[in-house]
Amino acid sequence: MRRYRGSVGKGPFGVSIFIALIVLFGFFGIIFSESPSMAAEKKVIVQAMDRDPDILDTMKAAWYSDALIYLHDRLVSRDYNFRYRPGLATSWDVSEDGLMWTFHLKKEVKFHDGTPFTAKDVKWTIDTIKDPKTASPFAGDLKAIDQVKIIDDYTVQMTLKYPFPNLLFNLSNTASGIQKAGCYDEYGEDYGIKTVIGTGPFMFKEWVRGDRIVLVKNPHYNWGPEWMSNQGPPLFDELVIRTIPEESSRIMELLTGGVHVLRDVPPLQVDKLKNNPEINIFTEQSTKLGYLAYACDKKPFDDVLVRRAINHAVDRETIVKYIFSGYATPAYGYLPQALKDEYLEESEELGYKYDPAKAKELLAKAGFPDGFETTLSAENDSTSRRLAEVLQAQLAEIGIRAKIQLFDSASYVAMLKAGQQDLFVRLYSWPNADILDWFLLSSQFPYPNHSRWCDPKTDELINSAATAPTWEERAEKYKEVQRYLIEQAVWCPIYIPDMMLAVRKEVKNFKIHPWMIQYSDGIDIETK
Amino acid sequence: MAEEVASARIARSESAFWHLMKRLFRNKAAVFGLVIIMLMFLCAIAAPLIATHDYAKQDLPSMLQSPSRAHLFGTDEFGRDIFSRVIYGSRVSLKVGFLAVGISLFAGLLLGSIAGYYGRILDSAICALVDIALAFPMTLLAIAIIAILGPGLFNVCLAIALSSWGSFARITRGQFLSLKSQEFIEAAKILGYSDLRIILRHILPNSLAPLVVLTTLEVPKAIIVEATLSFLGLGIQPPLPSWGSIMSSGRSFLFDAPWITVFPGLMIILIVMGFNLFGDALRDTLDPRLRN
Amino acid sequence: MLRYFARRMTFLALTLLGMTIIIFSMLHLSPGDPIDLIVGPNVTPEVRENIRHQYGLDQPLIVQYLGFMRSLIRGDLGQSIIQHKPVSELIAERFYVTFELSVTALIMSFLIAIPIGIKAALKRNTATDYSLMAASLIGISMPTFWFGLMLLYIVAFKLRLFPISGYGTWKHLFLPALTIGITDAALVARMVRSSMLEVIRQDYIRTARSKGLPERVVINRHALRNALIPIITLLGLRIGWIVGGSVVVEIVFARPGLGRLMVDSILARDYPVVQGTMVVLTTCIILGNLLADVLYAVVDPRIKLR
Repeated sequence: MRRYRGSVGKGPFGVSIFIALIVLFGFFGIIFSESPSMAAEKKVIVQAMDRDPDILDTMKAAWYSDALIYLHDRLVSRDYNFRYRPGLATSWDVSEDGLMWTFHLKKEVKFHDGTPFTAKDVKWTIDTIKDPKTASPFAGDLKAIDQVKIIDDYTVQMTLKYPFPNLLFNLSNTASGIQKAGCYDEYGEDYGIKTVIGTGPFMFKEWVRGDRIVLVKNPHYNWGPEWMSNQGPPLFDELVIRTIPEESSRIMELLTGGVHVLRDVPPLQVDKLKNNPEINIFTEQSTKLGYLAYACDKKPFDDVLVRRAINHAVDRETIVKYIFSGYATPAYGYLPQALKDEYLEESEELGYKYDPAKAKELLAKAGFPDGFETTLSAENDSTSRRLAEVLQAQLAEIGIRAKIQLFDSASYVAMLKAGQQDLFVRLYSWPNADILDWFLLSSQFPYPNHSRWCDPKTDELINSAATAPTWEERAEKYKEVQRYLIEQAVWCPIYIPDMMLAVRKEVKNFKIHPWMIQYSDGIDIETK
Repeated sequence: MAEEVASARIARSESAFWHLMKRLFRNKAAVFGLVIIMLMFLCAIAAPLIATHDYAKQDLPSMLQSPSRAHLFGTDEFGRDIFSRVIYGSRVSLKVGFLAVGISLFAGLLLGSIAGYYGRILDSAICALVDIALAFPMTLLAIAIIAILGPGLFNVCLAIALSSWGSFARITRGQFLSLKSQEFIEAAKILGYSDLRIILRHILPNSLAPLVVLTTLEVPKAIIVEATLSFLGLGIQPPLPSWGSIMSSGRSFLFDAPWITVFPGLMIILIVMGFNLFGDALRDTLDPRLRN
Repeated sequence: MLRYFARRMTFLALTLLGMTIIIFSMLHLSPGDPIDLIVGPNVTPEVRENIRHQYGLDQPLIVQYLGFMRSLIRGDLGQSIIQHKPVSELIAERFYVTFELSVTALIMSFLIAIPIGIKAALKRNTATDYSLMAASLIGISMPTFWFGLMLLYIVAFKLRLFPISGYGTWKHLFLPALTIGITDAALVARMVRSSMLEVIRQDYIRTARSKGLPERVVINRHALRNALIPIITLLGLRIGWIVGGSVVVEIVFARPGLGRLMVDSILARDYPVVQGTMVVLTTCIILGNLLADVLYAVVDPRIKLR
């Protein structure tokens, strides 16, 4: 104190400030000095996400962090064409009637703690998911499984209650990551927070709540799926998944090198990022669908004429052009094109094209010649907000005066659960036709059946599709479901956004995968 | 007789008013501050005349344009004109500023005068309440109150008022305590005037000066708290343009359209500075004791 | 001394009591049934009644409040509705992040403000004084979050001197702390200036000058020491402001602290977490004030704690 006090009186003003700054930096230097030698050698890839998971446990999580994909392996994997391929199971046989599935497991696979992986881990994982005490949100997806039997250490048999061709999809989901049998007893409350044990290419290092999840490569990994060029350990040392809630911060981090990989690039920024020599943009068809929905059990949306009018009022081309800068496709049906087998080719023909005059006419026929007042809810991210404001303007053209209500993601769901919605904007992201079961079966009312659509015919059509004996029949029946949904105008489908990833140039061998980035498949990073 | 004394005091202060004004206007900072405040009021009142565009009109093809002759402050993600939105935003800021401070002035006056005039238990209770209210930082308390009330313009005002009434109550009480024992009040009591009449006609007019100063200094705080709440998504909801909510949505485009965030912020600095300059000068002129 | 502490502790307890009443009412005044927040709408009425009973929500409000206070005293802040974890655990995870930021910001603020305030006072009514005070006026008039965004854009994004967001190293801490430090310093500098001016006007300074002591000695040995004493009280008074500022700045710089936890929880209507963070933040602020009072008494023996 004395030293700098002296300088205040005599020296020029700058000196005192200068000294204050030195003291300041000195203070930081002492407290937060870190050893710089470590940081330079490690090869680290950083990916940014907009939210932090509630828990890192495939069986209990309500929202799955990407980390879970790399921590665990699944019985079945998905290759670059989204075909079901061997994962921890080397092969599987299905009985004639489709009710008995036998999986042959890979040998010499070890969990991160060194214990060998065997059939009992598979049985424990599936049984625990199905156990009502676990309260797994994923339990419903495995309800077709009646029981899991251990034949020997490397063979398990699953008996189904009814034919269920979609089983391979469900077993290749993040939620079906194979856990170590008894991990709850072993680690108790800490499991999924301070410890995660899997067989995956990356191991858990730390999770700083709200900030980052750090994974390190599994040096013993050599059981990667056969379709990968690299079945051994990942080529880089650490994968950091950072939580950065603010969209602009994520992009600034990418531009300045604080983040290497960004999933879900906001469409408005794509052109700018494309022109940036430090960044590569990867695009592909996505399995997402954005739509405007309405509470079908409320007036006036219970009238199919009103629903059709809304469908005709929406100018999808303009939305795609300006909200998505062209990085989307207008949607007329209920499934995205990327679901090749189930996608209904004639969606656009059957669907409702932009025709405000016809929309007005339909509204008048329904008894609303002057339109009506209602609300339009949306989530408070930049794309939904923009979409909502544009829809508000387009609906106003035909006389529907909607007041916008914005919600953050958690309260948006709470609001939908409570059934307070009229019109609302929603986007789903799911690589399977069973998304229609999820949203539209009357058993899903009131949530996730947030369009409040309870219709016996829909139930019948969907159930018959879901339990069809073969994959082909299932696809055909899902097309039937879509035809009916279009006719009833249950939603107003709007757009299918492109899947867009931004990756910094330092990242080598990056390949786009229709489901998730496959970091262990030869992806590497150049260090400066 | 007492009535005469009291009105004489008021009359004297009225003649002194012009003297004070003269002193105030000799202070350059005060004049500068007042000019800024006046300009802001002009913006708010004449917003439809000043604004070059409809503040809510979307024009998607010209979105995120940088400032130009057509759009002085650039455009936002809907192609809306930021300049016009900022001009209309002054309405929200001033409305919240004055409404919030008005509510808190009223609450503070009421509780402060009860405490100061009646004393005893009421005084101790209210004083404790004031101490508690002042122990919280304004922003934090306002956030908590919004959590109960939910967002919206009036709720924001209420939240700000509930977190800032304490200083008004404290000053009112102090004024009452010092005035209560003065002769002309004693006289009025002996004459049998009702409490309400004494408070309204004799005490209040004589304790206005420090309250005016405090009001001038609390308005800018309220404006900043409103902007902060709106920025956090807890305040004014779109499409109503509040400076805080413009910045909140501009934040998503900070790196490629910084003007959306920069200009509303500059406006806040300007208006808050205006009030601070004027308030400081007013305090120096009216009531030097308030200086801390 | 003891009586003073007794009084301060009573005040602390009273404030916390007032705070808990306000916060407790949140769950019960807010529209909607708290049961909906706990279980969601699609359960049978019996289950709802069961849970209502289980959470004690069928009891009179006063009983519920007493129960809340009882568990609060035991350090139990309840269970998060969204994250399914004890609130105390969530807070413990994030407390340090906010604490670190607030303390650093406070130190920065005083390191910046004291030299500026003293300089302005010594050069009063000169161009130096005017420009310093004009700068501080602008500082006072800035919304903290806006200044943070500007620093983020210019220093972190354009100049690439510091990381944009995150938490961990001193580099991540610097910009958020500077944001609060500078905006707070603007106010503190004004107070330092007026405190210094007051001291210079005192008799003993005049005496020292008339003794023919050199100006430097007068200022260093007599004026500064006395002017700095009231500034210590300021330290305590600023804590509340700085913690409030940290809450907002955490959002700007994506720091996983209590502020972000609180705002996220408000938006998600996770009231137990909001309750918990408010209780913890308030306690910290009041304890900070108390600490400053004690410090004041230690530094200035003339002041007997009343």
